[in-house]
Amino acid sequence: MRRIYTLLIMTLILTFVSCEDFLEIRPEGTLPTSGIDYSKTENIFLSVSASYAKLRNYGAHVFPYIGAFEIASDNADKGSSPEDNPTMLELDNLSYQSDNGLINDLWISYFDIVSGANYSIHQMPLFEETLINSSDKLYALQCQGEVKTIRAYAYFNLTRLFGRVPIVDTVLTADQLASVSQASKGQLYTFIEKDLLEAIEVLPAGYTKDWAGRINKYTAMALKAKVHMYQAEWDSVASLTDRIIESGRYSLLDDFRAVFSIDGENSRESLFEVQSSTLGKSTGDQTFLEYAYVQGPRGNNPSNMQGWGFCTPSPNLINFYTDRGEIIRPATTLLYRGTITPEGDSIKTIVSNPVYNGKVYTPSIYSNWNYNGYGFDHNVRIIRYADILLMYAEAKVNAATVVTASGLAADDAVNLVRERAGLLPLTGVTAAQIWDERRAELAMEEDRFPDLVRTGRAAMALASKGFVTGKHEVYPIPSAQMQLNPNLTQNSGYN
Amino acid sequence: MKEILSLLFIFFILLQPVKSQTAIKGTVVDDQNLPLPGVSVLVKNTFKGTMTDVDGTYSLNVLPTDTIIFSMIGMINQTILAGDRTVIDVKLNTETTLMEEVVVIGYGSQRAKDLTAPIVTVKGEDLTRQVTSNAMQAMQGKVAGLQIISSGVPGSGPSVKIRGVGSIGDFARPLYVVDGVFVDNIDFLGAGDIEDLTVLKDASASAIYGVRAANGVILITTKRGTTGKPSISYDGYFGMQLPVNIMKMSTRDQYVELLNEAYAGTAGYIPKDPAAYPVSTDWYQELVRPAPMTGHSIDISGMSDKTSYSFGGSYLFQEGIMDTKNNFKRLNIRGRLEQNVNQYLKIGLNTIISRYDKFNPNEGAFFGAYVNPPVYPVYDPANTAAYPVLFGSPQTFGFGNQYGNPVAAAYYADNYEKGNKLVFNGYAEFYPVKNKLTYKFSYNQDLSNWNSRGYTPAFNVGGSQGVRKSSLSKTFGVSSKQIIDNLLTYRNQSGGVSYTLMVGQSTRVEKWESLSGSAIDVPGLDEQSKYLVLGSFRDRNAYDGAGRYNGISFFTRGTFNINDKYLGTVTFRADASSKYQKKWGYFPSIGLGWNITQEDFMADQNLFSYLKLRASWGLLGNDNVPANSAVILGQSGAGASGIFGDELVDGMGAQTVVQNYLRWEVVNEYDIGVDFTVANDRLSGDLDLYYRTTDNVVFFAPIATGGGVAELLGNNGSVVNAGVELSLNWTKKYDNGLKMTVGFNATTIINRVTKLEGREYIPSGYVRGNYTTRTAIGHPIGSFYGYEIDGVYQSEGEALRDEVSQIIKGAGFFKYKDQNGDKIINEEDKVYLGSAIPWLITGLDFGFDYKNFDLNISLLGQFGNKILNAKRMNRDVFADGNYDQDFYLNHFTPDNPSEKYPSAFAYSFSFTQQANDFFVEDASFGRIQNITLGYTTNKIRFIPGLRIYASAQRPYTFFTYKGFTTEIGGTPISTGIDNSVYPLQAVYTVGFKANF
Repeated sequence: MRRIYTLLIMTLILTFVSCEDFLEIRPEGTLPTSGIDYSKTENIFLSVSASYAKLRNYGAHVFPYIGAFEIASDNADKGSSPEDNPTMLELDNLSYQSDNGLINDLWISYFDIVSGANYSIHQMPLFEETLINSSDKLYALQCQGEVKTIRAYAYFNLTRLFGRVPIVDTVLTADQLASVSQASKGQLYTFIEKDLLEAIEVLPAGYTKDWAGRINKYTAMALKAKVHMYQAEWDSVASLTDRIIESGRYSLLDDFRAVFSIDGENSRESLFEVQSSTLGKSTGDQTFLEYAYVQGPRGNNPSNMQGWGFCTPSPNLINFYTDRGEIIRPATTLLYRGTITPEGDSIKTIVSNPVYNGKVYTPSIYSNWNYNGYGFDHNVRIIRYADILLMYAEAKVNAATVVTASGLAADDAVNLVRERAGLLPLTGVTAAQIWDERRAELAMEEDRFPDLVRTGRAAMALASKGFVTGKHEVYPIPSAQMQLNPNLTQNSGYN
Repeated sequence: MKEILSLLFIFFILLQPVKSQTAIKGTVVDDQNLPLPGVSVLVKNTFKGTMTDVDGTYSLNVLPTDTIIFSMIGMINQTILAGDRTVIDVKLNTETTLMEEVVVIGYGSQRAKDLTAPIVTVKGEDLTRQVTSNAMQAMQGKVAGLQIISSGVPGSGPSVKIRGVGSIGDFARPLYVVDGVFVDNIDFLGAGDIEDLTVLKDASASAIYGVRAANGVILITTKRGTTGKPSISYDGYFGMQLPVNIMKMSTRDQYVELLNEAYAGTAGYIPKDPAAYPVSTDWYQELVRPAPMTGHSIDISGMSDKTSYSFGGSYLFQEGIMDTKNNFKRLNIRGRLEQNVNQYLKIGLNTIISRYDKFNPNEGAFFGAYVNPPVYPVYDPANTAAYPVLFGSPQTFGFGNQYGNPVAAAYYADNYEKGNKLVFNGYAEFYPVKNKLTYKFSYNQDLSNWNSRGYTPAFNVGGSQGVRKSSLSKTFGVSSKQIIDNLLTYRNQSGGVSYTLMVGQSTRVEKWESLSGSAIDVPGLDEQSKYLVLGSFRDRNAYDGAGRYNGISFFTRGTFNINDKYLGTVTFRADASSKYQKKWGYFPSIGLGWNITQEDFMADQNLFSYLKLRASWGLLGNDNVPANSAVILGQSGAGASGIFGDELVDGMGAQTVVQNYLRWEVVNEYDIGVDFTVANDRLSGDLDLYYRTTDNVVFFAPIATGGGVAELLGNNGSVVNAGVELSLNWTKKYDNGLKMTVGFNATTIINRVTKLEGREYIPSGYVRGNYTTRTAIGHPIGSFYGYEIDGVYQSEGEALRDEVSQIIKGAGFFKYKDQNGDKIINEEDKVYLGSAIPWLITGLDFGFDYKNFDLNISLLGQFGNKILNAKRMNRDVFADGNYDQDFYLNHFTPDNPSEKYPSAFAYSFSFTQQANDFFVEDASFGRIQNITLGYTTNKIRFIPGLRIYASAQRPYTFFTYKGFTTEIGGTPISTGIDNSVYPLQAVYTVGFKANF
């Protein structure tokens, strides 16, 4: 009997003594809640790197991206087989409604980038406080500048797509997220410009070659210039692009085709690219985007020379090149059925569409992923130097009053771009000519649709698609989002 | 030991020369003095015996020293020493076992008539009547309050819900306690391994398991020695499984006709010609096959006053009905020994070793079969790009990359899994004060390991269906769950009052770990070459993971019985869990019972021989949620790392939404019930009303975009489940020897959300860019939400004349109902379209025994639930995908002015493909669950008891839904969404059971 009581009492004592430790356990395979040691400089970049990773989002830069920015324009058609993917067809012929899943994907993906950036932006002050060395403190601030640029970029696209979206710049509760209201376009641009201004102040001019693709001062300037261009703030456009030109760090590659080659990635013409890479592997984690793949020749073979065949250059674009007598740019931009590329790949006659986006063409020797794939190592070009020159020229033509250090005239800037395209120089260049130049130079690079809206030509250019002024300038707020946040209101013209 | 000796003794006896015997004879009658035919008259410890004839008479040669046992199902056995008598007449009394029977309850047992809670026990032998790979499957339709959703995949158990839906999907399963060991499911047990299975339905019964009891508790006792005589039994069957309710898809010509109708107006569309395609392929039929199934079990058990034992094993082999490598094998070995050491101590040891291996099918192939154009061949000798097998490719015929040959998809999937499970339970019971005080210490362990392997050979079919290099991935995992229980029970009786008091303490430690790796270029010629080391040294990856959980509990229970009239049970449990931020939860319960038939005023009535009124209340907890899921954790790895200069740079991100502080999910349940037996003892039954509120219900809910995650686990509100459970059992014996039993059970469920935290509704069930369900106050959890269809526009003119505007109108388009009368169809016109929770679940069993024959028929039905045909909704992604034949036959055309089906043209618009009551279908079904015919004989000398039987399991299911089955699971807020599933099968078997 006594034995039993002893046993019982021992059990109870053991239980109580160890109770607290016994119940407070952290999940296995995780870092402690305060897992980040803010006194270590090597930890600074962790959240920054994660913010870059978010740019590889499917919605932000793959299928919905090509739909909203290019297929909706006059440059490209849906592609693939006529009946394939009705949701994308809705984007092509502007018949989408708020329930279109691709539009919801865009919203989700860009806000995901915003969320990743918010986390990182709020991490940096913690490093700055903890670190002792002042150069380390500066590095934390510099990294914060990179991430602010990423957040600004995501908001710039959200603003161009939806016009009015909520500003989320901090950690919120689920209830708060479900009740945030939309900011106006003006408020959004102010928010974006503030991020970029702060970024430009702290970012370095460049990095070593190992860091190819990393955001620097000029990336932020280029983006800010573009943001100002969308508000027709020409002085700011001129002074920012002038500083990029004047830095002498950027120039056009001699060969237009090289810009879109694997070797031409992160070149001296590149200011911002979303990095896509198989890391030289043929299996494992997906560190690449299927941006090129979804635009690859449909039904071609071998299997690493084929894709989904979406976003095909439109007859309108082809005629535009023909009318301008262009040879060099269409040769790269248009990838025709029944031809052999200079790199030696054949686009067989069995493919579904007559022409594909040549700018995402990636020679088969670069496509070594285990399952069938095309162009997984192809980066998404976001801003390149040609765009800077054309922005500069447009600002000049619009009588920007600032004195530019580069001393470049509008004509000169445009002619640099034309020269490479094998075209004769222009004199007394007009805004309309620059717009056409933009189209010819940047076709299939997801600039066209917002550019048409920006320049007020969308109604005319997209008349055949039934573009309604006052409605189709922006996409509808996705109905799924309106269900999640009842405070969101719909854009005009949609229900 | 004594029993083993007596076993040997039996064999010894068999070899003995026959001694001088006397002939005895007699008549066996029942308590109403009616002759009883078919009574077994057996000389103890021998196979010698006979049966009574129609007049209840028998004759037998015996020795004076022989003991004769008279037995019959439903009657109390009589054991009589032969002595010098030559005539032995016997009266057998009807067994009132139901009431005297001792029922297993949590941490103890109780007489059935002392119960204050609805507790149902099903015998293992009743489970083995049905041919199922999983014991829970055999429970379908048997117990009121239990909803079982079957799965056709070999080796995968059904999903089980007790009294409606409260908690989160995967975590909403009941707690299974196998001989004291907590397990997540009983897939590892065969029905033949089970002695009995007890379902604790209400809070007062389950509350003793506080922390884990919110979704009900099922107690399983594995086979134990129960009869004095050592018994050896064998049960084996062989069966064929036939796929049932396989959907018909459109044939080639029908498909081409529909496509041409749908896209005639699309720019660039060239009408297709059926003659351009070589064949008409029925992909579903190509994927299924009849498949064999066999099961065997053996048990040796016995009991003496000091020792009881049971040893046995079972084996199951089930081939999958998908026509590729998929099957399931399970081998179980178990042993149980209970020994009274002396009057103060009893020890028990119980071990179950279960091992399984299986090839998992590629279930996705069934969706492939739904969408793939039916116009190309399974095998195509002309497709020379294909290797190693010349499968036909949809790309050869101009179809896009989204299609892949479904038969090839099934063929190239090589997913093997095997595992072992050791469930051990050891206890010591001390009796310091005889019959009063008991102390029990028990140690329980569930040790599992599993090992899965996925191999894909290098292959090509065409388009994106193919890989250039073979790949292999492997996962090893182990888990260990340990529970240590200490129980002290005090029993006493004085006068007419008896009571028990139990206090207990329990400590739980659970941990799992896994390690997995992958490699490519693994030759994989045979099993021996499917190893990671044989792969390329490049592209090798490794991952690992682990989980841990600790819990401590204290609990107590008091029961009393006053003059067999007034009964009571009070329990209280305090649980601490490492999973919640708020560590401790407290769970009280009370149950009261009143045996009305014991009252004096009932003495004069003769309607009821037994009538008891019960009432109970209790709180239950659920910590079966992902551990520490409410902590913000870093997201690292390749997906969170940026690329610079073509190299990955380590990154770590995190979500940016504040995590919810997780509180205990608590079930608050009331139950009122009646148990009764009608005076002639033919009809008995019970009726329960339950009202169950789950507060702080935990599930993943979608959150507004911007926090870096799409959904968050949280305490989202309260859900009520209420209803009625009725069970009736009726038995009648006819004079001609026919015995008939009828069992009926029915459960109604009313499910309503009564509270939501901080929001008006929770959308879920995301299909094609839209949410299809809505969880809102006043509606069942996860109700379907969308447009109501008010017909189909018959003509362009009708559409134009209709003053209600909707995004797209035209002949053959749905006319959505303008619910608010504002003449515009928009979000505001969406309404609740029903939910996946049935209103009524019912089962009906018939049993007939006549002479040596027995026949059992089980029926079940489930009514009032809805299902979302997401296969149809998802079809628009595959614009030139196939249509089901029902759509072909009924779709709107000028010649077929349907008011329900859209035209093929309208069907390709996302506006048509919204959640609406075309896609939300009735999921009610009725099923013949089982028909079994058996024949029992004792005529064979070496087999004293032999039953041979033939059975049809699930031979027919009636439903109107356009799919394989309406039994679809999911999470509570998005359940019943059918994205294509593995079909169910009917099983036809023959088998026999022998007792030695």
